[in-house]
Order: sequence, then C-alpha cells, then structure tokens
Amino acid sequence: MSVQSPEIAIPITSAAQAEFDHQIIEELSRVAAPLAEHLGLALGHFARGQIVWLAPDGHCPCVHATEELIPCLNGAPPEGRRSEIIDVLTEGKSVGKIVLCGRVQDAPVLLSMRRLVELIIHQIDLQKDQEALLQELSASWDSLAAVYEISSDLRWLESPQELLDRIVSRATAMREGLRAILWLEQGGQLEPVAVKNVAPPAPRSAHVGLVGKALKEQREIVINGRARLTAAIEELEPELRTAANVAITPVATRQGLLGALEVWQEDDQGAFDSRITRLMETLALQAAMVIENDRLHRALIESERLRQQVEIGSKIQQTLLLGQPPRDLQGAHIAALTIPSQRIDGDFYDFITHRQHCFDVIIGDVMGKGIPAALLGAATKSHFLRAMSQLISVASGAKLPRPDEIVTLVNAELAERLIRLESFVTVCYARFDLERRQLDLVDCGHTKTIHLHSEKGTTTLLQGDSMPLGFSKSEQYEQLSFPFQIGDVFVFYSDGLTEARNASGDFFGEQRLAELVHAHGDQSPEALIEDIRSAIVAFSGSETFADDLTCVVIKIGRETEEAPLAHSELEISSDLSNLGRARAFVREVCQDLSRPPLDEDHTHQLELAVNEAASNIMRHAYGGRPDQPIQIEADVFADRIVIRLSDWGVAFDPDQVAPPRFDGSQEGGFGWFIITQSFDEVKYARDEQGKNCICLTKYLHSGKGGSDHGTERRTDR
Amino acid sequence: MELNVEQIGDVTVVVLPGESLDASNAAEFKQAIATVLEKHAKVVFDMSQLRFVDSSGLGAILSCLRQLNARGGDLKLCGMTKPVRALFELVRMHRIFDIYNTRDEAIGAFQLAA
Repeated sequence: MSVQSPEIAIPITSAAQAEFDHQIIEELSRVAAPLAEHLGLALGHFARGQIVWLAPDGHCPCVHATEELIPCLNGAPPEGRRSEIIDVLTEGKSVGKIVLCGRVQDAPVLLSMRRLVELIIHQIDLQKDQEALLQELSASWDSLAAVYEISSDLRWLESPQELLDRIVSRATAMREGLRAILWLEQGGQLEPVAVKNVAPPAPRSAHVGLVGKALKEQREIVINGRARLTAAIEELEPELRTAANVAITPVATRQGLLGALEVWQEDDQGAFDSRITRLMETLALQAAMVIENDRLHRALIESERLRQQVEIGSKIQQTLLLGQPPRDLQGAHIAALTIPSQRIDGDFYDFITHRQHCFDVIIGDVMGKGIPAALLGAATKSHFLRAMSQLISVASGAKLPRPDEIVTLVNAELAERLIRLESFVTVCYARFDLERRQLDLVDCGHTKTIHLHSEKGTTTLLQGDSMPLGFSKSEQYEQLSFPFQIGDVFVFYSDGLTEARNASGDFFGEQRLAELVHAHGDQSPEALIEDIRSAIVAFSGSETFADDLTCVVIKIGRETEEAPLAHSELEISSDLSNLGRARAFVREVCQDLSRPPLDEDHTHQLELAVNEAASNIMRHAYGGRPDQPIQIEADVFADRIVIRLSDWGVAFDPDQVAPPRFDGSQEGGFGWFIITQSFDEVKYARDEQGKNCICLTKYLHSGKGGSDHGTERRTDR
Repeated sequence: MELNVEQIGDVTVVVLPGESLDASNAAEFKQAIATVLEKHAKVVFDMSQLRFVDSSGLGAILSCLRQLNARGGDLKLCGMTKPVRALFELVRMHRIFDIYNTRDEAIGAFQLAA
C-alpha cells in the first residue's frame, strides 16, 4: 500500500521502525484498545501506509472504508462522529498516526483516551521503564485529570441498567407523547427491563401479542391506527389498550434474539414512519450490545475479555498506583508487596523523599473494585503530589507542608467528586523524620498501622480517628505523632491483607499480623514481607485472593550501613577446651582497636560473655559433641564492636530461658543473663539452612570505654 | 586436676589451680574437690591464681558451698582477682559467698565464728 496522507511524513521503513510500530500496536492493544472498546470508541494505528484497527467496535464507517478513503484519518469524520488524530513521534519525527473515533457527544471521553494514548506512545518513545512513566504522570497533572475523567465515565458506563434506561429514554424522545418498554426474553418469558412513561407491566409469555409476533417473525412490526389493534391483543397487552400507533423492533445480536423494544403513543400525532423505525433499529442495536456485553461480563468470568480487564488493571496498578520504595535512604529500609487479585481494586501507595532523613509514605484504598476504582486510586495518589507541590509553592522558605495540611487540601479538592461518585478513599499518610525519630501520622479510616518497638519487644497498633477522604469537603484532618527508635518496624497494609479468610471463613486479622511482625520483626523488611506473604497463603490455603493485598514495611536502621574499621574471624571446633581461644580472640579484638583500647573491665566482660555464648553452643546447641564448627566474627566500628557467633546445632529460643536465681539455690542458668548484661544489643536468629547466629553489639562511649550496665540494653529475638 | 590443699588448724585452704575455671575444667574440678569436701567442714578457696571464671566455674564453686552447708560446714573465698570479682558481682553471688581479701582474713573469720 503506497497511499499516504499528504500531511504524514513517513520516514524510510527500517527494521527499527517496524519494531517501534510493533511495540506501539502491542502496547495500545494491551492498554488502550480494551478501554476504547469498552467505551465504544474506534482505535486504529496508521503507519507506513497501513491501518490496523485495534478497537474496531466503534460504528465508525472508517473501519470499513478502504485505506485511501478513511474520513476520520483525513480530518473529516462522518456526520455525528468525532475523531482525534494523534501523531506518533519518535525522536521528534512523525512516524505514524493513531486514530480515535467516537460519537460527537463522547468528546470528553475521546479527549481522555487521547491523553492516555499520548502517554503510552510517549512511554514507548522514551523506552523508559514504569518508573519513568510514573514520573511523567506525576509531572503532568492534566493527563491524570484526563485519566480521572475516564474513571468517572467508566463508572457510569459500568451499570448496564443505566444504559438501558437511557436507551429507552432516547426512544421516547423521538417525538412527543411516546411511551416505551424494553423487553428482555428469558426462557420463554418476557420481562420489562426498562420502561419510560409507563408503569412496568408484569412478565408475560414471549409467544403472545404483538411483541410475540415480532419476536417470532424476527422483524419489525409497525401498526398505525387504533382500529387495527384487535381485542385479543388488548387482553394480552393491556398497555396497548389505548394506543394509537405502535412500533416493535426485535433486539437481537448475531447470536440470537434477546428481546424487543416497544414504543407506542396514545394521541395520534402522525403515523410511525421510517425515520422512527430507523432510530428504533439503532436503539435496539445499542440495547443488544449493552445486554450482550453485560451477559459476557457476567457469564464468561474466565474469558478473554476479563483477562484483558485484569491486564489493564494490573498495568494501571503497576504504572499509576504503586510507587517505588526509595532505596537511597539513610536510616530506613523499605520494602513493599502487592499481590494483585483476580479483579484489580484501588489500593495504592507512594513514597516521597524530602531529604535524606525525611520521607513520606502514602498508602490508600479506594472503595470499590475494577478499573474505575483503580483509576480513582491513581487520581487520588496524584492529588497528593499536587497538593504537596501547591503547599510548597505557597510556603515560606524551605518549610515542608505538614501531613495534616496536605491531607486536608487533598480532601477539599477531591471530596465533591468522591461524593458524586459515591466512593471514598481510606488513606494513611505517614511522615518519618529520622533525625527527630518521630512519625507524624494522619489516619483517614485506614487499617491500623503496626509499630514494633524493638527495645521493648512489644507491638502497638496506631490508629487515628479521621474520616476517609470523600466524606465531607470541610473535614479538618489531624495528625498524631509517635516517637520511634532504631530497630523499630512499621507495617502499613490494606484491608485485603487482614481480611484474607481461611477455609472456615475466619479473617486473618490484625492480631495475627501483629504477632507475625512481633515474631519476625528482627529480619530485613524483604524477609518480613515474605514471611507475611507465606503466612497468609498458608492461612487462606490459596495463592490468589479476592482483594489486592498490599503491604509496606519500614524498618528504622542506623543512619549508615558503614563498613567496619576492622574485621576478624576465628573458627573453632566445639570442644570446650577451645573456650580459651575464643576469649583470647575477643581480648585481641578489644585491645587492637584503632582507637584507645577498651579498658580492662569491659574487655573482661566481653570475654566472659563470648565465653558464655560459645559454651552454650558447645554444651547445648551441639549437645557436647566436640567436633562441630563454631564461627566467631568481630567487626569494629567507630562507635561499637559487633561480635557474631554462628553454629549449625539445634535452635535456641531465648524466650524459653528462665531468669537466673540469685539466692544460691541454682548452680547454672547464668550464661544468657551474663550475655545480655554484657552487651548492649543481643540478637539471635536462625536461618533456613539451620545456621544459628547470635549477634552481640557493644557501644563504645567516648571517655568511658564502654557503657554502664542498665543503659540502652536490648534483647531481641 | 591436682589441688594444693593446706590444713591450718581446723580450716582447710584449697588453692584453686590454673588461670581459669570454666566449662572446660569445671567438671574436673568438682571431681577433684569432692574428697576434700567429704573430709572437711571449714574450707577456704584461695582464688588468687584464677584470672578467669565463667558461669560453669561459678556453678562448681556454688555446688561446693551447697555441699558444705548441707553438712553444717562453710566455704569462704579469698584472693579474688578483679575480673573474677566482677563475675560474682554481675550475678549477685558476692551476696551469697563470704568473700575476703586475703587467706588470713578468711581463716580468721572461721576462727572468730568458732
């Protein structure tokens, strides 16, 4: 095909060009085409003289036109149609066009789709990953506003009943005094699914009366004049008792009859002519599509259509709903998890890093499901970024807007729309200030945040009492502040997680989650999230869930993960005679600091504690076998010494250690007590390979050469 | 394990041998000391040689005290080095044992009590 529109400058075809076209078509097919189809728009890709219709279901005559004569593409859409032409640009050059076509009254939807298509093309052009798209979207509020418009339309379009009501209303609007019924046939019965200007009649047989005749003969029936409506018909179709003119059009698809659209009027205002019957045909066809679409949607759960929906959903989710946890934070480690459900919902989260020591976490959940909820989630998320930049621009100096200010502004902007859409959004807005070690939290009806206090080994559930977004435009949101310590863990999650059910229908619940966090909080956020995931899978006995599961874990760490100043290792066998070697190793580490050596008292104390730990391993973990390996490593940092003892013996449970008795009645049981008294931090962990590791940390306080007993002591699992 | 046992009047003084009393030799020590504890009631442990005692060593010494106490005898400790004293204090055992700086003080305490 060599035909080109004069305004399209198509560069020389090359393999790269073909690949680019292929990518565009694939991406549009994945993301835009199902949406276009759903919205009743035609979507085509034109490049190198060829048009490919990705969504041909738009009643655009262009779909059937030869490629030389595509009216839409040439900027002259047929009457009642409107088209949007999008230039496909790569490296600033036009290499093709995307055609979008719909009804004139669909102009806002067309415009929204145009923005979406532009974004997709731009994304492919930039060859960037999803993160880039997110940045692009964040930067472009207009685009997101457009996406939001689609969500409103989709939501509206989602109800087939409303669509059918609209079709019936359109039918009665053809002229004054019309009444209409849309009948749906099911198992030989006719049921009125939508009526206008008449009370819905009772269901009746599909084989009687004029409607029955139209269905039987599969043709349109028009009767003009009272005289022709027989008494028999009157009995069977009482609504037609006083009708002057009647028109009945079967509602059918290629697959078969669905029902009939019936229109009549009581005052004779002229015969029903072909203008009326043509319009009736169109409306009947629309009704057929709505009903068919609805049936497909309900019946074919596993169908391609739904698969596509899920794909669009997960695409939206990945690109629009879920932010990337920042990796370059000093003093906090973040991991996030999402398990998408069969049907997407509006879970979202995002992270905003302000400085190295301050970042925000936003996690939210939109009421509702499906693409509308997802798009609403995306719009809400972007509103936060927008509110943040608005507040920063009006603030004096470098003052950061407070979370309560941000949430209040977002709600003020969103509330009316949410109320109109009968939706609301629960949000948890958290700001972590690592310098002040303080969490500022605005909780708008979201799930309770779990806070693991590493020092005390306890968990608390943080909860505010603010309304979700979309309850009241004038809601003033308040923030709560919580102090935290190094080693503390925060877990944010969606209700999909706590509302996962087991076989007997019990919820997983926040209590189980909190216990899990308590038991595994000493691990890395990634490992903790994996534990949460497997616990929920084990609990529910399923890898798939009714709701999306979203979880964000934040662990407060030291400011820097600096390299040790010195590192040493010793490997000994588990013979008790090697205890002396373990002590000598510790002594050497303490005396060989590249700073003033640790004083004699503290050196001895560490020797003693490591001796106790090693002795426990030899006697208990290895049960007295003398030939098993024990690894001792020591890392010296500017402010602390960290000593780790590893073994591959039986597990140790610090919680089962009885406190020592100091009355002389007991000859043993002092070892663990000595260890925890001698080091500032004592942690025990066992990995999946069966390696036990006791990690002992001693802080070196300047001037004293060691900390006193009783300060900053921690015992963690 | 060879123990240096010295009888001063009715007080038996045992010099705990070696630099350390830990899990590696605590059992051996308990075995060696058993005969001393069977025959004597007033016992002093001279701990001046010991640079290191761990919880197992401490447990062995505690068991000596309990054996003696059970038969109406007593154990006094003396000559504790600083690190060993630190352990006793850490696990509050300085309140359980009678601890003296020197061997003479420990012996004298037995004689005073008598």
